[in-house]
Amino acid sequence: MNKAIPVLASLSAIGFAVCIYLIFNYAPFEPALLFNQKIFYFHVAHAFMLFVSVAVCGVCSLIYLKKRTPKWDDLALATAEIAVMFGAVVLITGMIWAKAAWDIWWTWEKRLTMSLLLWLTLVGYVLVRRFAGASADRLAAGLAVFGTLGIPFIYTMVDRSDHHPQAGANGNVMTLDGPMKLVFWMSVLTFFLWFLTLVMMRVQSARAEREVRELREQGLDAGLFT
Amino acid sequence: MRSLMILIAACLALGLAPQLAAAQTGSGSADAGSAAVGSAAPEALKIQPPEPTPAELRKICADAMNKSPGFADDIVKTINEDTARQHARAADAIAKNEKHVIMAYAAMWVIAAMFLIFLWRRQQALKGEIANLKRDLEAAAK
Repeated sequence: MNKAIPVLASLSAIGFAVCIYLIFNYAPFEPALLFNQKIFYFHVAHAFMLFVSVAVCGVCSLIYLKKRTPKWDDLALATAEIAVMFGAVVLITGMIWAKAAWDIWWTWEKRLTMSLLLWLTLVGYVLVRRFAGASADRLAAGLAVFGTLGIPFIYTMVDRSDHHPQAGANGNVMTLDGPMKLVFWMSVLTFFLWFLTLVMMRVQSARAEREVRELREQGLDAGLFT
Repeated sequence: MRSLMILIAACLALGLAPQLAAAQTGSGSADAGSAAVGSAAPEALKIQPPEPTPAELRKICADAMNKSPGFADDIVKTINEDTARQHARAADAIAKNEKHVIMAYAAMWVIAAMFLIFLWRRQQALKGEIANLKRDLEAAAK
């Protein structure tokens, strides 16, 4: 087992505890959303980690398509599955927050629709890896590169008419007041550590899967399996 | 239109019904109007009168309020208290909306826990499979 995993997992656990304490005891109430705004610290941090996961997956897939080195494929597979997990959290916590703040579970505005499409693309990646046979790695890599292109659209595609706040310099994150901003970036850091922990764990699994495939091939060569 | 309907509803709730009935039957006083409708009306007069328009209702309500300042104060007070109560309830619900915050945090932890369990189980299964395959290969090599 990679020695960094327990260290990163412990740091993440400490970070989660500190973040929860700060969110509910230190960060002030946002004047418009009040208590509902507490969802923001984990919802948006998850969205950031979703973007990081998808970007890493896309870049690793691109390198794998170029070089065909297994370690890039392992990393792409690991980050794709983690992105599915982060994406599910973003969508579900977003829906719950939407119900609390806007009194609707879902609206087909651009950012939500694009986020759902990105998540479905990632689910498609995982399904292709599972069921597409021998060329699954290359097919999935192409899908990952395609999915990565969606990130800038999701980040920037918010109209003034949309429910979501604008992104960028005048966006919600950049205009937070001091304590809120501190707690938010603390959450992002914690989730980044959590992301690294999960990537290392999943890469370990991907290597084990590769080892199983190689041992099976050796067994076939030795006439162990029919 | 909405405020008009609220005003009319408040009028009805505060006992304007007899006055409205009196106005519809053309009687000068509320008591006389009630009596006329209740007891001695001929069969022909029992036909339902046409629904008053919002403008007519508004005029009736305004007349009644002008006649009795106390009645007008009651309506304003009732509407203000109801509105204030509704606003207070809504503000309280938003300020202390723990339900959705708890749901969101629970969803996050449940999904994370499920993913960890999925990773751990797969890792254990792969470890077992690798050990079996290595044992089989060593046995075949001997």
